[in-house]
Amino acid sequence: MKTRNLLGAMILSGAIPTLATPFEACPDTAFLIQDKYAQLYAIQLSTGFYEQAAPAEWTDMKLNALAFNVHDQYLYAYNDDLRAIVKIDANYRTEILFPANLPDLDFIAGDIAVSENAYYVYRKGSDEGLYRISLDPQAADYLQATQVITGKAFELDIFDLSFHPYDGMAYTVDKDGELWKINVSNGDVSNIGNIGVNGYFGGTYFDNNGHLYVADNSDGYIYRVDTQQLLPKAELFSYGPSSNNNDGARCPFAPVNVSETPDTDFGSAPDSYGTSFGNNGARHGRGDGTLFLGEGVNYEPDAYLEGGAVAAEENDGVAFINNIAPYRYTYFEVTASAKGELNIWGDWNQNGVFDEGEHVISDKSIDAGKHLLHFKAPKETLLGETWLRVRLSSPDHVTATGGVADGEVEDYKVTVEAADTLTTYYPGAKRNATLAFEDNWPLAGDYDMNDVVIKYNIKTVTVADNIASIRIKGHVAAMGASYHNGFAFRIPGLPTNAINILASTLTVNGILQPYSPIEPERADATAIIASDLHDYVTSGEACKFYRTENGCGSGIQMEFQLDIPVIGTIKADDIDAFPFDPFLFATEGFKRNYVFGEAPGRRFEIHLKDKAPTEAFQQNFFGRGDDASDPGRGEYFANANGMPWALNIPYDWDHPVEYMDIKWAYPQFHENVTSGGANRKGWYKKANALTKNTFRK
Amino acid sequence: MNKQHLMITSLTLLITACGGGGGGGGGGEEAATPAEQNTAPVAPLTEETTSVVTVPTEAATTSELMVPAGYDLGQDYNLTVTASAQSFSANTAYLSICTGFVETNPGAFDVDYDSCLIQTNMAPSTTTSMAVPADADQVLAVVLLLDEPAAPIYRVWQSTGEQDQYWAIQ
Repeated sequence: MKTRNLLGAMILSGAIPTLATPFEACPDTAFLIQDKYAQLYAIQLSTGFYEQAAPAEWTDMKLNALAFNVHDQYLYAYNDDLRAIVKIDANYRTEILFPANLPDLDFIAGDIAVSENAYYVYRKGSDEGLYRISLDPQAADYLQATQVITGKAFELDIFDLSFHPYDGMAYTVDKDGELWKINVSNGDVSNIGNIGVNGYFGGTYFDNNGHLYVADNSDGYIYRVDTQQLLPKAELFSYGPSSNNNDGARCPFAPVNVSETPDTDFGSAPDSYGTSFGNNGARHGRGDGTLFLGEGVNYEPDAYLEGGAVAAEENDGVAFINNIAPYRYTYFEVTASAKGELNIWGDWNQNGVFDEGEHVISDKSIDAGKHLLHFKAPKETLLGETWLRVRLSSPDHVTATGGVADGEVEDYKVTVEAADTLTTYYPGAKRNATLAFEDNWPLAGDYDMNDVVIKYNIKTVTVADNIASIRIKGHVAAMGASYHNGFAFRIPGLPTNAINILASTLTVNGILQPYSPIEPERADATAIIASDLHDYVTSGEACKFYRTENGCGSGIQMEFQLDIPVIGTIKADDIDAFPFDPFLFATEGFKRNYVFGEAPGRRFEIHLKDKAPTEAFQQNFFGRGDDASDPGRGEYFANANGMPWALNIPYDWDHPVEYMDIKWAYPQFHENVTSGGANRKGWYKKANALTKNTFRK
Repeated sequence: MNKQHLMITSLTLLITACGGGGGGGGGGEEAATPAEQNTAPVAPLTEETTSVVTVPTEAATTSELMVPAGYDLGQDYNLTVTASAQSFSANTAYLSICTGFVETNPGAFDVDYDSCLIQTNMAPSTTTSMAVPADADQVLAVVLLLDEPAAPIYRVWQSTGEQDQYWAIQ
């Protein structure tokens, strides 16, 4: 508390400038805060279409209880760490306000009243409750907190609340689906009835017709509830983003216009190619709904430009079989839902536009189904990354930009490579493998194999028999651990001095990290993906762990991409086979189990079975607890039964739910192990899982 | 980002660090009681007999599971292939080796190129190794001729079950 009060004094001493830019009067966008370090999204409730509102790095604060203030047109949120209110302007600049007399609590639900300029925040618990904080600078009680309802009188599992645009009441839906009305002026709370669905409703919003929209954290479903009805029921309205940390806010006077439902498909290349509506981008109407590339088409209100995850997933019409190289045939498979005209452009000179002469497939008529086709890039094509645009439509003579009534456009980022490139993938070009760790080493764990679960894919490129680059791309799929773990990849056989350390990069959630991930003092190249995975993922409000308990669904909170350029002459045979040597290590300053007298930090590692530790590891940790490693025989990280603390599975594996022995999730696992891998080779596949015992969102 | 914002950032981190703490569970250091694991164990599967390998007494839990000596629980096998364009009467050809495919008609395949393990030019020849998921009993080689467009050539490899396998594609 002392630290915080001191901080408050420092900030209130006038350092923070007054925010200058309120939001436009009553925007029709709904705002949503997600993730441990708050990300602010804008959602169109009518479609669930969402995009990042504030830049990804706009703040490193933890925020909750998001509210839109109709009295001054700013957003407000509550910061648990500072115990402060954060005011957010239209440019996403923040100002910290410190309320007085507010108890030392994490408030997770809140909104700002319409009939008065006051912020109401709530936390469940007999000693907690609902608090009012005046936001009116003219009022005598400005920034004074007072308890409106005691926790005993109002004890509900709620994660957001919203004020009705006209009746002065706050509304909320608890996790059992009960709709509650709160009279904040006298503290009366009344139950209106059950809306028919339950969930963790972390984002709630009103529109100008008194419809309440409630978004379920676990699956992102947005329901609409007409609060004017005698017995209001939920209606599934759209599909939004899921997360286990959600809080929403919206101007309650703005309409949610269903007629704005998008029925247009856009590409995803940078806008220099003509992609967005404002730039006369390539776009396709719904038509009769039958013509598209691949398995389906998504319609958007406007282009998701480069980097949009949704756009990347949408590209399913074309599979490039061989690499694109200058003046050489490129084979590709294209899948059409119906007969149409195919056109393809490539930016061969990398000038950021599709020139007329870069049209490589022109009005090729194809029928429904999969077709193996080819084109030849011109001799002068430049090496490196560039963009291809693929359009399928009923009309012919389409150009690289402009609108078409039906069909679909897909933009592909491709790499033009030298002809003698060898690309190797693990466990497949676009497939993920899974690392599953028990992190209680050297003590036996509970074998739910979900303390840390990482999904990843490795790609190596070899040019003229020498490894040129290694890319490891992945995400943290689950964390059923409270220990603080770092995660790294070592590439045995690849000397650190054979890689370009400074040009090695780590991208986390799309943001290039401003440092090299390579540990310079290691003999073999070792890249740190995270020093503490807890920095990136959070279990959220209602869950103990991250994505290991059923009902605790969340969007993926940490995605990473590691790129290592190799400069030495290293042959593929010189380095270890896939999956190289991924490992956990202990975060500095955080204690482990009792076998360590002090926090072991980087000296602690957990590798796959029989993978030797790095030089950072403290050798006399071997043999402690249940560990039965025998370095002299090349035996590492296994117990007396030969069981490891980590598994690598060449499959996008569904991990067991919390505390569930892997045996009960994968009944064939034991036979596979006892047969030395000879039997039940596909034990890890979905078809062989007891899905009731694996994690479900 | 202004100076004040930076100050808040650093102090926020400080507070977070103070409020953190050592690991607690990490999967439960005290043999946590499974919530429901023993409620419905499945009956042992009996679809085939396993006469080659001696199967020890079934372990009630994974903590009792005995791993055969020398087995590292790896779930891949190593496949080394050699191939050359010349063996397909071409100067330049392209090789993809993939695990996901369906034979739709004799000699005709529907290939999932997302499953490919390697993709490479075959001129003049190539020898390379790959890690193949243990459950892939067969892998498919797709050879595309690059001198002039032609129909793809397919070859199938049947896994021998060995840890190290070698395939000369021709």
